[in-house]
Amino acid sequence: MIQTLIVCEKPDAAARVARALDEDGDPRRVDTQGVPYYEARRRQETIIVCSALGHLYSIDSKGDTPHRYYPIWDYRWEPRHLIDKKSARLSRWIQTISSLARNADRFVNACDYDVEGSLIGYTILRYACSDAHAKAQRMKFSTMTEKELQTAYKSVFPQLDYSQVEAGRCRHELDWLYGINLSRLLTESALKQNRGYSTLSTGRVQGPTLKFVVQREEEIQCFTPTPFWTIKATIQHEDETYSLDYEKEKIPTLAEATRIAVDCKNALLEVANIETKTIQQPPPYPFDLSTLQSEAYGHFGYTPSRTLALAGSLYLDALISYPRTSSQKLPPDIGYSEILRGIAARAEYRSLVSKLTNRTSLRPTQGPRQDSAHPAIYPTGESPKRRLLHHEANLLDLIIKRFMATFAESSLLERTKLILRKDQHSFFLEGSKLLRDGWIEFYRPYSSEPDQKLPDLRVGEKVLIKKIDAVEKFTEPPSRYNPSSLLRKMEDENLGTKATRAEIIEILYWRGYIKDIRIQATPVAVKIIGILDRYCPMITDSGFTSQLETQMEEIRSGNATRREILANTLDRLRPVMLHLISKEESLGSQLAETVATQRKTNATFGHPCPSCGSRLMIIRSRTSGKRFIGCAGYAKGCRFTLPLPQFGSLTITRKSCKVCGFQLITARSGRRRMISCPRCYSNKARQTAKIISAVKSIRISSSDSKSLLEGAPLVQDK
Amino acid sequence: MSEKTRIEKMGIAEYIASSNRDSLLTLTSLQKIVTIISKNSKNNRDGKEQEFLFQRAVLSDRARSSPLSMTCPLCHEEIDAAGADYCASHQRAFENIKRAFSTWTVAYGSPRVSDFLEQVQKLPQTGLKAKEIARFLLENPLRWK
Repeated sequence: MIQTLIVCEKPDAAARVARALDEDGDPRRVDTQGVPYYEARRRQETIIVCSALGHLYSIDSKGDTPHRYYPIWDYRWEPRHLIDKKSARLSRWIQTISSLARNADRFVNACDYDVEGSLIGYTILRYACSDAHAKAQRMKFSTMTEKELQTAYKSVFPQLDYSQVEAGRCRHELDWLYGINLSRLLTESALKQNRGYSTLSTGRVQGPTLKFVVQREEEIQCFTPTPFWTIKATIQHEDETYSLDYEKEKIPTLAEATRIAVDCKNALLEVANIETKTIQQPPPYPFDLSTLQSEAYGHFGYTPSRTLALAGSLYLDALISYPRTSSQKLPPDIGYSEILRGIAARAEYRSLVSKLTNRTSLRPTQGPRQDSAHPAIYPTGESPKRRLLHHEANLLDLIIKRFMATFAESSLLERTKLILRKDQHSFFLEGSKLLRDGWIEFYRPYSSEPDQKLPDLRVGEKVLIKKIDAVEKFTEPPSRYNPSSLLRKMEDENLGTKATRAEIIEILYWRGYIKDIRIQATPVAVKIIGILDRYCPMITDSGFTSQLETQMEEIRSGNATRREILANTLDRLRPVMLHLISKEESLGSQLAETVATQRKTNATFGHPCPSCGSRLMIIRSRTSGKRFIGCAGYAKGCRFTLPLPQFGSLTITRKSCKVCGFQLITARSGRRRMISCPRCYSNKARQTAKIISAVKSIRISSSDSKSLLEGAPLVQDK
Repeated sequence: MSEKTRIEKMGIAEYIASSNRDSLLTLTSLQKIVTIISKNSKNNRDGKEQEFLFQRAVLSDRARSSPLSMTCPLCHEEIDAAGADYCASHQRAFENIKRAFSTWTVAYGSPRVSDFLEQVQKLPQTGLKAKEIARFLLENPLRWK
């Protein structure tokens, strides 16, 4: 009997693959040292399906290079548990896979069909399965449905997708070389100034992305508004008031604005013309990842990384297709009618689906973007096997409705413009009416429906201006990026990949370079970008990074080799590093000062001390090592303190407690996040302490009384 | 009395100290100082003392805010660009304010500079650096050139 070892990317994916390939749909789950794998039977074959936990191998410096040494140019792939202490459990994963590989005759990589998935499978097969990559095969699928998994297994590719593997290796190696050298240089140069440790990082994609934010911040900080005026006029017709637009949107001078307002005060406007236009609105394109992230942010406020995580879990439940795609195309082989039939199984979509299936042909709108590996994101039509979380349900609903909308016909909108005149002054009144719902019906409530009523006026009729004012306004600074718009900017500039962009933004938050949802660059970020721009503009140049991305795409398409690109990039990076090292002291002194200031700012509350009005700060006790909130007026005799959580990293938020108005704090440990009010917590703790002491005293008295009165009921029993 | 004789008579430190905070030391006068220092250091022991005094004076707070030290008078960052009076970001804010003033002039019909700066400071749309420059220019009207 042949034994096949299939490597998947995640345990959930492994379970699904095993269930799909097992003859009875019920594979045996085995647990070795807490590492699950599945045994499936299929004719004369035993299929062992094991999984990774993302990347099991990563890059590290060659030899015994000290931890803080730089520059480093020699590297090798190593098990992640040897590089990162936090990944210690991965050693059991590698051990289990290695032992399973010993008995296997055939190897299949069933990780996600993209650069990362191909690389995860390749490194496992190469390093954990004793160079099994040479004879390994590749499964390609876009959904986790049983049918597609079975088809993918039957038509497995005879060898690994080496172009994707090479592109992935090149990306990881370049990112590592950039990241490790530049980040160590920044961190160490600041540390050498003896102003305390702070991890400072930059990278190939991180640097240019942060520069966008810093540039926007500079624009906002240096912005000087200029005045302009708008004319606000209203008319009344049949008891309804309508706002008019003046022909000029902005009037540059006060004198002109006043003259218009005076000229048109109580004037009779004559309807000079009525223009009507019918506009056809084509259905939206199918979702690629970035459009999905943008829509989810707009409608639900989900950050791009959250949307990606939610989409990932829907994919693993076989509810949607592979989400990390840049395609906006839905090929016919995905089976439109079958998917729609599946969607119709849910009552809320039944009537909409019937409207689509009644049509003679099903042809979706196709967008311009393509992805050779996967189609656009679409629902599989399967019903959820578990109760979905609220956010997952929202995202699934958005994907299903978008999918249906792409098959619908265009919507028809009638736009009418009334032109009203008084001498040389013209006013407009615009309205729109939906003549045919088309795709909008399928995409409700995610579509905007501008339905504005107009007064029933004819050409030549006159109407009195009820009110007219010249309103003084000032120009606004450019708006800040939010996670969604920053991701779009990265995509426009070709920075990072669809899979990594959201993560890069998260890293910028995590490092303290950016803050708030309306993204603001912190002083450290401004300083780092200033320094990099001054000494090595190449690092923050989005053009250079974008060029590298294009080169990596060329590896994927087979037009370039990993070695060539690595050699070219190293030739450019080496002199930059040497130049930076020669300026290390100057860099360090500039960075250390900003880092120290930011550290102090981050640990200071905006809320003053309730006892003496001085600043309140997060202080760590030298004796106990515990942290607490203390008052800067300690030297003057103020002894005000508040307790703080002793786990995770603390951040002082801008939000205030709804009960007492004190600034809230966030304690983050791993993925766990706790937001609390130190003052309410302290009051609550005091109250709890009081209650406990009261209960204790009652217990003592009751136990005393028990000894006195045998058989009397105890207070604590009550 | 020529500048050279004045420097020789007074000594460099006193010369710098006697110069007005807002008066600019031109490049030629700076070159003269350097020439004298180098001559003196060759000739006599006092030269070294004077050079020390000169450097100390340059590094003093007072000198830091003067153009001689080439740091921004608002944030004490180094001034990179030739011909700039402020650090890169304050220079940008300054240029924005100057540009905005011409628009304000057209819009309101020749407002006073001080009124304009006060108004700019109050507006919520004004950026932080632009506000700092506006405040600085109100306090140092001679810088509005």
